[in-house]
Parts: sequence; C-alpha cells; structure tokens
Amino acid sequence: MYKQLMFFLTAVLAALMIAECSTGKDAPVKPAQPVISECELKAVSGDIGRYGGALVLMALSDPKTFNPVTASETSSTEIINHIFSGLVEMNGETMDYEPALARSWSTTSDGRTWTFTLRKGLQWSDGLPLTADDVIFTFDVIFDSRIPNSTADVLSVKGHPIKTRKVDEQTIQIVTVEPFAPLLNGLTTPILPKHKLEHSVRAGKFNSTWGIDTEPEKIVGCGPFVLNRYIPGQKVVLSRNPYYWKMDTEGKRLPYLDGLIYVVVPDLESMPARFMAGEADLLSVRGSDYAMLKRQEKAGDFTMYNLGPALGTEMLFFNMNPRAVKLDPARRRWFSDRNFRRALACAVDKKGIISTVYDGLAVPQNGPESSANRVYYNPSLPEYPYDPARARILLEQAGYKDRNGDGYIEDSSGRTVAFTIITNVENKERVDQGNIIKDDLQRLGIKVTLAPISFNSLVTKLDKSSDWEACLLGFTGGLEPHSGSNLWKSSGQLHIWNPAQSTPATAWEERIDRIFDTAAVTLDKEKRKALYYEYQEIIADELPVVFLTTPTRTAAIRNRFGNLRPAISGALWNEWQIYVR
Amino acid sequence: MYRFIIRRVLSAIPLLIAITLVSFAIMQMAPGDFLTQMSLNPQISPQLIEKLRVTYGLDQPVHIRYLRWLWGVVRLDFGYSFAYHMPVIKLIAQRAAATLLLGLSSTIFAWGIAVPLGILAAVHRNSWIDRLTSILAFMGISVPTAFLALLAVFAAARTGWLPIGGMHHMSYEFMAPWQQFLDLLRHLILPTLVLGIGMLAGLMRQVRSNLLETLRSDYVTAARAKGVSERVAVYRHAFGNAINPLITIFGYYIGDLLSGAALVEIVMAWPGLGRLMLDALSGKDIYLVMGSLVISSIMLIGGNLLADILLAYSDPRIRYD
Repeated sequence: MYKQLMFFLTAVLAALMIAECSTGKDAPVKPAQPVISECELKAVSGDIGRYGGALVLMALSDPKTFNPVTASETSSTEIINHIFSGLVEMNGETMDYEPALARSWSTTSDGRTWTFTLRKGLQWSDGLPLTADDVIFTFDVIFDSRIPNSTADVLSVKGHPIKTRKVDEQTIQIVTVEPFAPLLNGLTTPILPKHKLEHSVRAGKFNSTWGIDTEPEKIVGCGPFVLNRYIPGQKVVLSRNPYYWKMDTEGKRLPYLDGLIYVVVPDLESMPARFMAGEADLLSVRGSDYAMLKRQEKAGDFTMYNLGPALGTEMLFFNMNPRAVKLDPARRRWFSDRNFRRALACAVDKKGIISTVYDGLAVPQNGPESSANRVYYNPSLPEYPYDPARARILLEQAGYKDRNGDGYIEDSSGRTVAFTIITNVENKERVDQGNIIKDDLQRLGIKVTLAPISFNSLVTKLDKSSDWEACLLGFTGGLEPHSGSNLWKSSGQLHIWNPAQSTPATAWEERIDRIFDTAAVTLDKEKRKALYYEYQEIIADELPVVFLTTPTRTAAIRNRFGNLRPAISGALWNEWQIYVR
Repeated sequence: MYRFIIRRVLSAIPLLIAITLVSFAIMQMAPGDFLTQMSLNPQISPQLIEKLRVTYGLDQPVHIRYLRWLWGVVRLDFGYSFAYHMPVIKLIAQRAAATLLLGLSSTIFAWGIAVPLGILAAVHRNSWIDRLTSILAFMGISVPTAFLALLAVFAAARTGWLPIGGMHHMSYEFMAPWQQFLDLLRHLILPTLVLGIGMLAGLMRQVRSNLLETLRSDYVTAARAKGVSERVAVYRHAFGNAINPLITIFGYYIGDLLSGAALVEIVMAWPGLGRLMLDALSGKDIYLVMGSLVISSIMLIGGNLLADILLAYSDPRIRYD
C-alpha cells in the first residue's frame, strides 16, 4: 500500500514538473542572462544522488504568509526557509557560518566595514539575475520604518541600523557603528527580489504583500525550492528551483528532489497514524509514541534519529524585583538568597521530570545555553544533581529549618517558607513539571502552591504588575548567545526576576553586562567563546534561575532517502542533497 | 408575510450589534492581545512590539476600536487578520465552502435517517425496534464527537479502507472530474458519520416524542374512530402536526452549519474553518474571530427566520400578519 502510494506520488510529481517545464518555466533563455557555465555554484560533498521524487512532511498548521520579512511564527518561516537564501548560511552540523549567496567576505582591521562578494551568475527562480541591487533593496526594506520586523533589531548595533552600500553589481559593503560579531547571524536573513517587490514597497503595501492568497508564480525566490501551490487547510507543494546555486561534486545542479509536500494535519494525535499508514515520510516523534514507533521501525521501513536537544530551555525563576510593590519582602529576601536557590536546584528531581513528563526524551539543563549549541555551550558547568539531603543541609546552613515542628521550614524570623509558582496552563508538560517540583519542594518542608494560568495572564503578571512569586517557563533559544541579551543583561525587559535595571543591582550582573557588551564587539571567535563560557559559569554559579530540562527531538524518516544527515539544526537541514534511493 | 420578513430583518440589526458588542467586550476582558505571545521571545524587542501595536491599531481605546470595526462592517469590510496580514472575509471565504459541505452532508445524513427511524420507533412504541433505536440514540448522545473522530481516525489507519483525514487525495489535481468526485465522497464518509451520529441521535428522539404526543391527541383518536387506516392516521393526520417543532430545530441547524464542526475538522484534518477559528481565538486575532462570529450570527438569525416562514406554510394555523 505504502510503496504504491509513494510510487504514485513520485510519478505525479514528475508529471507536474514536466508539465511546468513545457508551459514556459524553462522558456528560451534570454540573451541578457548569464549561461550556466558562468555561474559560480557552491559544491557540496556527499553521495551523488539522482534526480526525482518527493518528500512528504506534516505541518500542524497552515503558513500565515509567504512574506519573509513580516513572517513571525514557525509555520510560515518553515516554508519560507525552503524558498529563500541569505548572504551567508549556517552549516547544520558544525554550526559555523558559511558562504551562501555571498561567495566570500572580508573585514577591515577596525572590524567595522565588511565587504561581501556575491557569486557570479546568480539567478532568481524566474531566471532573472540576482545582483547587489537586490541585496541593497532587502536591507532598505528591513529598515523601512513602515515595515515593523524583528530582523531590523537583529541587524541594529546599539540601536543604529547597519549601513549598506553597493560597490558594484557583485559587491556590497556593510558598515556598523562599532565592530559587531553577531552580524553574520543576522545576514542569514532572506534576500528579496527587487524586481518583484519594489512596486509594493513604494505603494506602502509591503506588509500585506505575498499573503497566502498570492499566486505561486509571483513568489520568486533563491532557495532550493519554490512554491508550487498552496491549498488552504490541505497542503503546500514546493518544487525544485532550477536556478539554485548549489551543485554536487560532479557539477550537477541541486536539489535532487523534485519537491517537498507539506500536508496540513491539525491534530498531533493523528500524525503518528498517518505516518504509519505511509502518508508521510517524516514524523517528529513525541515521547509517548516513541516505544510504539521503535517496534515498527523494520516493518515500516523507517529509522528513528535522535536530533539532540532543542535550543530552548525550561526554567524556574523567582521574583527578586525590589520595585515589585505587591511582593512580600520576606519572600524577596528568600529568593535573593543564593543558598536558598541552590538548595532548590538540588531539590528538584530533573531525572524524574525527564522520565515522567518527557518519557525519557529530554536532558538535564545546567546553564543558560542548551547543549545543542555546539559552538558556545560550556560543558563543564557546576551541576546540581538531585540530592534532597544536600538541599536540606544547604537550607539549614542558610537559616531555614523547621523551628516549630509543624513539618514546614521557617526562616530566621519564624516565617513559614511558602510561595506560589505560576506557569502557563496551555503547556501540559509545564504543568506536569510544576506538580513534580511542588512535590519535591514539599518534601523539603516548603509549602508550594502551583497556579497554572493562561499565557496572557501570565505575561501580564510578569510584565506589567510584577505580581508574582515564582514562575516556571521556557524561553525561545538561539545559537547566537547575543540574542539572549534581553534575558541576561540587567537592563533587559526579559531579565524578569529583576527587569530593566538602570544600574546593575549586583556585582555579578554587572560582570554579565560587561561580558555581553564585550562579546558583541569581539570578532575573534575563540575570544568570544571564552567570554560566553564565562557568562555561563557565572550564571550557573549565581543561579538566578533554577534550570530544569531541555527536551530532545527525535525524527522518524523513511529509509528510501539518501544523504540523510539529521543534526541538531534539523532532520532535513541539507535538503538540497537528499535524494530518493 | 412580506411585512413580517422585513420587520424580522430590521429587528435583527440591533440584535447583531448587541451580539458583537458583548463578544468584543468579553474578548477585551481577558488579559493580553495578539502581540502578548511575542513578548517573551528574547529575540523580539519591546520597541518592535510597541510599533506593531500601533500598526495594528491595538494602542487605541476599546470603544474606538469597536466603533471603527463596526463602521467597517457596515461598509462590508470585516477587518484585517493580524496573523495573516489579510482581509478577514477572504480568509473565511477560502475555507467556508469545505465547512458548509461537511455541514450539509452531515445534516442530510442525520435528518435522512433520524426522521424515518423516529417515526418507526413512535409507531411501534415499546417494540424491539424502539428499544434498539433508544439504546443507539443514548450511545450517540453520550459519546463526545471529538472522541468519536479520534476513533474514526484510528479505525481508518488500521483498516486502510477509508482515508485517514483531509478532503482530497494528494494527487487530486491530476484526477479526472469523476475521479475527483469519488475521491471527495470517500473523504466525506468518515467526517459525515462522526458529525452526523451526534445530531442523528438527538433528532431521532425528538421525532419520536413529537409524534407520540400527536398520536395520543384527540383528533387522531377521532380519525381512527372514523375508521381511517393506521397509515393515514399517522402520515396524513399526525405527522404534519408533529413536524412543527422539527422545523424550528432545523432553523438552529442552519445556524450551526459553519461553526458546529470545529472539533471534528481539527481531528480529521478537514480544511474548514475549525482550526482557523481555534487559532484565531487562542491567539487573540480579534477581527478574525469577530468576522466569523458575525457570519455565524447572521446564519443563525437567517435560519430561524427561514424556519418561521416554513412553519407558516406547513401549519395553516400560524399567521404572522
């Protein structure tokens, strides 16, 4: 049944591609266009594959837009990332920045001027040349005040936008107000086709351009695939971009696959059923389905790959904000006591959380960066393994013990140690973790109430009213530690335990601030690494937050595909090389 | 009759305004707005969120926003979805057809079976057929639809007889028209069954009890005494009067056509309004929610009006003028 279906699909897709070629996509080459041999394609190593076939994926929800600049959530960006490329790209295995549309780059000695050289003969998916004008146009759009977008923040240095200048058709110069190490991270942003979008920018309609009702031919890209069709609520079909800028070692243009198909499956529960029935080639495996799928690996002709931990982190943090008027001063005193927080870190059974909440598919977390971060993760941080006895000793040394024999511990002034942990009710895993933590702390004699509330109420409490005691939450992570500034710098709005400080409240917060500022202007990779290692050590030692776990991701993929190299950055990060065996 | 219709349509206007006012107010009372979701992402600056808030007009006071929206609706502009950067009406139009199709097919299925079974159960009261349909009806009423949908998905996956979900096969675009039609029918079977069973169960009980009541009334006894056959007594004399409450119920079903299938749609990947609306509601994409609410309200009010008109035709005792 499954094989038949796949055969059928592949045949259908091939028919589709052929139909398209004959209807003019490959129309006679215009004389102005550079011929293929002049194009400097990027060669990628791997098995030599063969052309054809499609890979079927499942998406939980529809894309909301195909506009790379205004897209803000993953169901859109996941599709968009197949259609576009940036000046540089991140290698999915080494996590280093590598040349993409830009063939090479150089920096002046003051570290402020970067020169990027584009590959020769780059073409958009409609065959028109991709030049420095498109790159300049892209940054003009990003910094257009009428177009609010998060890339503008990433590419601003101390609030000043980067300056871009066209040197010639193939060369772009970028100037920053001071040396800016995270620049390459920002330059992975998609480059836009000027000839398709200039009009809508001028008319002030860019924000609603390339919405989901756009005809696919109008969306012109430079990534491995182009949009072929989108049927709301059903599927997104992406087909090969014949002008993609990568080739295999034999000089054949990539990608090998004819296309990718995303089927919209709005219900997580029915995804494994669909995968098992052969209606999809890839499944993100949840802990609860792991054992069932593992048994079927042979019969279903697929392999489960451990992609490693995710980038986000789950943590428990406490309100230490001196400006939080509604916070009981006694509680603030406990929370501000490092020994108290360390005791709590020892009291939480992370292994228990991993086995009960994540069915084993998670790893303990000890510091602010996930171990998925190959480049910057510091592997030798102090750990706080589950040790209730040690927790009890730490608490006693810090003056918290049961003074009146009621089973609960009191502080030195006789106040019973009790507080409320809030978390967002929408996330079942978080609520489950909260219950485990509550039990763990209860066993130490701390009276904990768990209050799962809606995400929006939670944010209002954290943000506006500061009316909270302890909170269990996860934050979106990134590979570039600098993008966590808002969280870890004392002036950050998201430095929630004591946000937006005008001057750092403690000596260690001042050190963290300095590290972030220095690392941002340090272009030397090893020096940056040393700085970010130090920041992780300080955080793990001072423990402003109790780190919990990071879920690991597992993907099940059919065995009929070649060149699969699943890595932390995704199961299909090298999609251009994947082929049907 | 026409004056009645005009009066009803006019009186629907203040009703609609009241509905939108209350729902707008309720959505405002819950904390946070569309941009709150972004505020805990370290990569998005608070300045950007403020900028977006201004762009979306979310910085304006509630009453201004409501009045602006209402003025838009008057000019048939239902507003703009924040998540999709697109007019709400276009988004709804993209998906309404699928929902309507499922709604209609399950309604036809439910009524087509419920009415004859209900009559059978009433006529043969306390017989085995009455008992059996009662048991089935109670089962149908008590099993939650979403659970039934999950069961259907797993049954389809196990047996491979019917598609696991969705509305079209992956290669739908390349089929001949008759193949496309058959493909659509195959995909319709399970969701129609799942959605229809809940409706059917309740309806059947309604038909049964209404008919039983009229069968017990004096004029039916009189007809029987005159010596008409049981058949004529049931179908000519009793049934016509027993369907009055059903026509009213039918009006409500029309109102439910667009919104009644959300859960089934989500579980069975039916490309209708379900997921769109759920995401809009949880993400506080407020104008999208309001847009679908207005349309559902219009359908409900229209359905009731239609039911009243049908009543006037079916029952000569009812006069509106």
